[in-house]
Amino acid sequence: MPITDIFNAQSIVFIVTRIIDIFVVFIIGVSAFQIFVPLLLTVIKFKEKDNRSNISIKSFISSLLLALELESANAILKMGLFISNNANIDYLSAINNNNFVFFVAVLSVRIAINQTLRRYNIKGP
Amino acid sequence: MFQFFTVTSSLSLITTSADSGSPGNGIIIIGQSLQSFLQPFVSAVTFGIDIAAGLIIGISAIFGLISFLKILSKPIKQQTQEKETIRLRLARGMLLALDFEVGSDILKTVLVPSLNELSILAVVVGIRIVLSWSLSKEIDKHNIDIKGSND
Repeated sequence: MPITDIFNAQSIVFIVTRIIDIFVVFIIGVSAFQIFVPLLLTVIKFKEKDNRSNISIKSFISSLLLALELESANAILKMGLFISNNANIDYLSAINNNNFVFFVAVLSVRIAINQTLRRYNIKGP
Repeated sequence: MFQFFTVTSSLSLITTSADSGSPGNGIIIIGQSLQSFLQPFVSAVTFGIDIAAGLIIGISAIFGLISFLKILSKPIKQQTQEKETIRLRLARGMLLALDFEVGSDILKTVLVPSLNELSILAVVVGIRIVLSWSLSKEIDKHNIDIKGSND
């Protein structure tokens, strides 16, 4: 593969978005692991959800919001860097409608979730 | 050098059309030659702006991940608040990148002033405005929560 094909804008965007996706998976995985033990203990001991499990759930929710933020950043990257050839005037034909729809959808979900959660206190007991 | 020849050949076309007594065609040709002259520069600038936006997001994501790794050793209750701080920091980086994208899109409308491109620009600007408003509310609430927990 010629080196010019490796280092064009689309391949750079592809690599960066994949790296951010790995970050997201890592964050969600670590957070899920962190709350697994307290919730498992709650289930095993047939206890009502205590303060500790509530805190763990809130921590997991904040991790999910962080992951959503990273995916929103991904959407902005995919939206902005879909043009690989800067000399191509007819870039309208190169617009990936899926990227644009993904951009609008992810950011709308982000805004809606944050505005909804703002009404509820998730930062602590 | 190639652009110089393009411009001079366009100018010679203008002279020819002016001589033939059709000024309307001359204006069109001037516009077309200016567009072909500007196109590589505008394309290069928009490409640079897109790269800058990508760098901002990439750096924000890396700092976000490093900060997340740092807080893993802290108690879970403290982690929740720290994660919110990281998230808002990332959101500010996103907002800055979105500003760059708006600038890039405005430049693109110079090259391709079509209704489709203008509608995309309108959507991006609209999302930027709503995101900025939402983020300002989140930051205010986060600052109030931090102040409340410190008191």
